[in-house]
Amino acid sequence: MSILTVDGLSKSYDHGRVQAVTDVSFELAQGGTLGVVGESGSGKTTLSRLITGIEQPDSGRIVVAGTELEARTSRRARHERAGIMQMVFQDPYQSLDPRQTPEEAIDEIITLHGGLRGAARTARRREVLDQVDLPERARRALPRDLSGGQRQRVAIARALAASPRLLLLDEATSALDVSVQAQILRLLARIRADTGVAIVFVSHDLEVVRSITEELIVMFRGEVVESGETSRVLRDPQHPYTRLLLSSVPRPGWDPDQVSRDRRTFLRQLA
Amino acid sequence: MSGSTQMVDGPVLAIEQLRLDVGTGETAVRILDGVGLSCAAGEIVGLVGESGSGKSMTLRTAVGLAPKGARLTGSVRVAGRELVGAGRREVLRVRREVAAMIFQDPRAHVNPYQRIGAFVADGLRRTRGWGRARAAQQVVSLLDEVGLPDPETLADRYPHELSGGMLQRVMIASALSTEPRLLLADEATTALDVTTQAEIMGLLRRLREERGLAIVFVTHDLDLAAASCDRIHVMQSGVVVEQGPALDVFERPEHPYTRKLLDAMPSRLDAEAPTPIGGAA
Repeated sequence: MSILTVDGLSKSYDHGRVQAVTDVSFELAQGGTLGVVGESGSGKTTLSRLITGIEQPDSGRIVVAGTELEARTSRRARHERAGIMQMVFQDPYQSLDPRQTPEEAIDEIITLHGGLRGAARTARRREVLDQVDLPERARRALPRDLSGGQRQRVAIARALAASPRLLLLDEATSALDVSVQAQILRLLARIRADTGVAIVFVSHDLEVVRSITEELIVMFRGEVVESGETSRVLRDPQHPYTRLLLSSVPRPGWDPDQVSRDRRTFLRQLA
Repeated sequence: MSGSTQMVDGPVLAIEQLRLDVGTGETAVRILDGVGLSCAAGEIVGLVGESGSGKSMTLRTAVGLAPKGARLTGSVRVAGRELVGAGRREVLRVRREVAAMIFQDPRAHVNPYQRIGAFVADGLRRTRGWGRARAAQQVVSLLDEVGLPDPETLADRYPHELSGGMLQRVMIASALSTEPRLLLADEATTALDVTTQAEIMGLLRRLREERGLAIVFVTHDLDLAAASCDRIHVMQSGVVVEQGPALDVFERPEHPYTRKLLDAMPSRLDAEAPTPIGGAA
């Protein structure tokens, strides 16, 4: 059974003049991992905002764990959805309450979604903060006293505290130093193995997506131009845009001018 | 990966034993500790490290932009001129005549209400005292040199009408307006899409060939540095921990920190790929 089904999703802005997402469909199995990769203007951010319900689609359906997202939902429906799907964004500093310690932030979610109190709540809080390897001292500190990596661990812990079945991460490691990014990616892989949570990982970074997802969709100008098993797509890309993206990744011996020529050829063929 | 190195009386940038301290007494902090780096004409040198490693600070000292109250010792010579201990006038002269810098976010360095042409012309008019017409002519030629299409029309446009990649080309054109011998690039492609990054890297490579520019390229991306630079310096906590030809450092890192940095590159995270979980699907 699928945890997330997206069917014929479209969204435009500015009275239809800007088509941000066009007829996007995919399915993610329970416990699966899906990467959404694309450059700026590809529609990946709009797609993630549609899935999380921040924005409403012009047409198409989003089904999360068997329940279709409705445009105007009751407080109760939103609460239920939050118990199934949680989000983590690029900048944890903006999503964390500056006056709340990690322990307080986690408690709030546990009370809201698990209804736990007292010793049971303390135990669950410990479990969640242990899951993200947050050092003891950081658990009672304010966000401003935490490092960027620690803040992102707190954001992940808070998402996990709701015991979701689906985690949507939008550029969640993009602002971190590479060594911290690597730690967070390993952490996510472990959490997934431990909890079976499904993951949608939205990123501009092909290599990051490769390291953490099994399925992949490649977006260009609002459309899915290629999809499939991550390893297959990256090993044997079928769409010229996917090929262009792959050849753009710097590696010793690369020829940036060749990439530029390929890009111009690709854009010319499109016109 | 040795570039077309045209050596003209020594390196364009020579940093030796550079030490930079800020604060006093208990709160004193050493930001740079014995940094050494050189860059010759026609060479691209990568300066790689994570945030707080001192890579950007090293770059800034080369254009006299060390923080106020910082104590510098050692030597920073740009085209033979010593900047450590130099007066403000000498530093300004270096910045005007020899060294130029480009940054991660070009939008933060332009005036949104100033047309592209006027922005690029600024440097020419200020440093060479050129008139409007002569400067405008040179602007078109500079915009053309950095590969911007239809430069005459483009000069009349405003920053918000340009993409990030185009605006970074404008910044490079502006940097070139003073005919520098040294170009300092601080995470200049970090905010760009990968395909656009490739275009900017292609442009920088062409400029070092055609103009014999010495380029110091600061980045957190070891893959990019290995792909684009002749030599690499790796920095950690204000110290250059490893340096050498780009491919050597990339393929045979000697310092543990370089190895750690390489292992953390997403391109090498394969071993850490999540193992499929049984029974949950």
